[in-house]
Amino acid sequence: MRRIIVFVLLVSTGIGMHAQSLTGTRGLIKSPTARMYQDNTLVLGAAYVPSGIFKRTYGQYQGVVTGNAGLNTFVTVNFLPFVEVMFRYSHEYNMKVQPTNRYFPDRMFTARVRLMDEQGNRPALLVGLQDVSAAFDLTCKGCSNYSAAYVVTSKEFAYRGYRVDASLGYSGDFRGMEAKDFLGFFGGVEVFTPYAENMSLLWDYDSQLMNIGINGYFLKRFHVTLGLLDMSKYTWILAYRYQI
Amino acid sequence: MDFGLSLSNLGGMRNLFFYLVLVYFLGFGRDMYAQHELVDVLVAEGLQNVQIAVLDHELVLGYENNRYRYEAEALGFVIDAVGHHYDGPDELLVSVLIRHKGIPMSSVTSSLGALRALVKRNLDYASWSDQARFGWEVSRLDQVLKEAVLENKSYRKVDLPVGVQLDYQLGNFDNAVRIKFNVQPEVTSVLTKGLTASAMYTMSTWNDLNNSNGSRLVIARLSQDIRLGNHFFMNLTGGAFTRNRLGIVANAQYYFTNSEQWRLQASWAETDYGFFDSKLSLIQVPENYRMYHAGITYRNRQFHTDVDVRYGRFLFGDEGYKLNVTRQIDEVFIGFFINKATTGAKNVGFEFQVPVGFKKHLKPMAVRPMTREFFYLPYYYSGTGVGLNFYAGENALLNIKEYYPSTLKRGLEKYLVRD
Repeated sequence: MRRIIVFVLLVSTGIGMHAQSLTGTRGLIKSPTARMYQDNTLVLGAAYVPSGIFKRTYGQYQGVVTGNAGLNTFVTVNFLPFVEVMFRYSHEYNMKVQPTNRYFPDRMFTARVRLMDEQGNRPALLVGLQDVSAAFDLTCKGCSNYSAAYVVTSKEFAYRGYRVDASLGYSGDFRGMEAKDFLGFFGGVEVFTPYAENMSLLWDYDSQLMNIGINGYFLKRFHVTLGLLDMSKYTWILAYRYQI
Repeated sequence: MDFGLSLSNLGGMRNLFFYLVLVYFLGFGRDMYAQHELVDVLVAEGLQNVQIAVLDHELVLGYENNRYRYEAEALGFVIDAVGHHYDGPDELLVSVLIRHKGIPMSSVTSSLGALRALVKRNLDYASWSDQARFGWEVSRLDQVLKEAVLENKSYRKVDLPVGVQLDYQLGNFDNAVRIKFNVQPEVTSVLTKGLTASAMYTMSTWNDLNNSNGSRLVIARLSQDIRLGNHFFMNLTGGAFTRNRLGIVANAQYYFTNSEQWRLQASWAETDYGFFDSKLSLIQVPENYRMYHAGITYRNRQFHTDVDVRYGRFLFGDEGYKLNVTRQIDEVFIGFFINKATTGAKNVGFEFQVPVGFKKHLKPMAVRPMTREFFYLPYYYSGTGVGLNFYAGENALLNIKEYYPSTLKRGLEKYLVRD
């Protein structure tokens, strides 16, 4: 009985909050959307990238799937109502930081600016610069593992208590930085049902893989996402959000 | 009606005296009583340098907050107190002058009627703040209060704030995260208007960063804050500072509009290498080292965001520019910076400052222990050490953003509008 009460409490708080992607910014399972947190929101989170998908971020085998899983740990802040900034460490499982292998987790910044808010029939429009600090000579060009410059648009449709938030985006090179994380078109949908308003179903195509998942937003603080990358390899995302 | 105002007999004199006393208490006396009650409430709360003056159509009230961590919360208390404890006509203007170390910083003006309606929930905050004036121009109010009695002086009392500081280094392959965690007790006293004497001690509690484990005095200084007119702030500080600097530093800020929107700033420091060792002996190596910078800051008052550009010569003799974009969310600051030297070396990263410790300190007394009010941490994404500076202790110029009219206006809402 106690478990049922706890479950009811958990699912009865928080309404219709868009998901948190494993890249660290607002998005679906992996694909970015044009959604943003509220102004002044700080998010601390972690996301698991399964073995067979995670690519090494340094050294001789940089960019190669080594068989190790990865963990993205990130801090994201809505710096302005229309600007989101994310800083992330991407760790490789089974690797220790030591002089012999010269491994150190990858670091990256993402900045996203919403150019247009959703209004009436008009969708929201956003541009994002992910891991492109080398384009501004702030790090070495070869150091970038997740670079992508993208534009994405999102529009929500409602029908009989169901809400479908559809997103479509395009990613390309930027100032000599080759797009690596998103190549070309990506997109997907987030579906809210009238049965559990704080939960949503996710489907996305991240320009390379098809992914599905379920997102829950609990206690007005926690995002929990469980999903399958490439429809077969499990992933999870856990994020704590705080209104400064 | 016979008021007995005959001067031809002693009884008439007595009656005259009686009526004069009665008129005084019914008229001025009521005002005096209201003033005293208000002053008593503010002093009882622990607010300092409380002054009050009543002009023909205006009540001018000055105070200094060393009780609340956040200035807007203290202002919320004062506004609430005026609304509840000052008895006067609705059309009376109430001007509140906020001081820091005795220096006038900022002001808020509202009609007493609107203020009363706000605190009694008959007026919403937006409507009240539309008619109120959050001001930067304080000279007139300071002048009005010049002759007023100063209640609960803040001078020559000693505070003992204790804070923590974190030094760290990431990215070494033999030890990925190196940390040095310091506890920093401080002793500080405002001696007279704007003049502060303080000393800060640092004690290493956890250190795998470097070999420097000793505890020692890192700051010992005298600091004078000055405000000239409405637009010009200055600070002169002399003593021993962090990063082993010993000498003098002058900082100035000029706000060239009647608000905090545009600011020019300059800094000049002449220091030698020097510090106090663990036995409090002064070690000094005379090698005059000049640091300076000048710049401009634009504040977007809607988003409480500063864009700050400055050019100068910094800690390691590097010359170049610094660009900072900083968002202030009440007591929290989140910023991004890029420092670039003329040699091409860069320092890029982000920084944040968060409030720590108690929201409300003990009432000020002869000697008061307290927690430091903030924790600051920079993160260098790609760092070469350019554009750095030493820390010479807090002063009015460093604290000024809490007193910005737009900060007070935003922050006040949280403390005045409670469910």
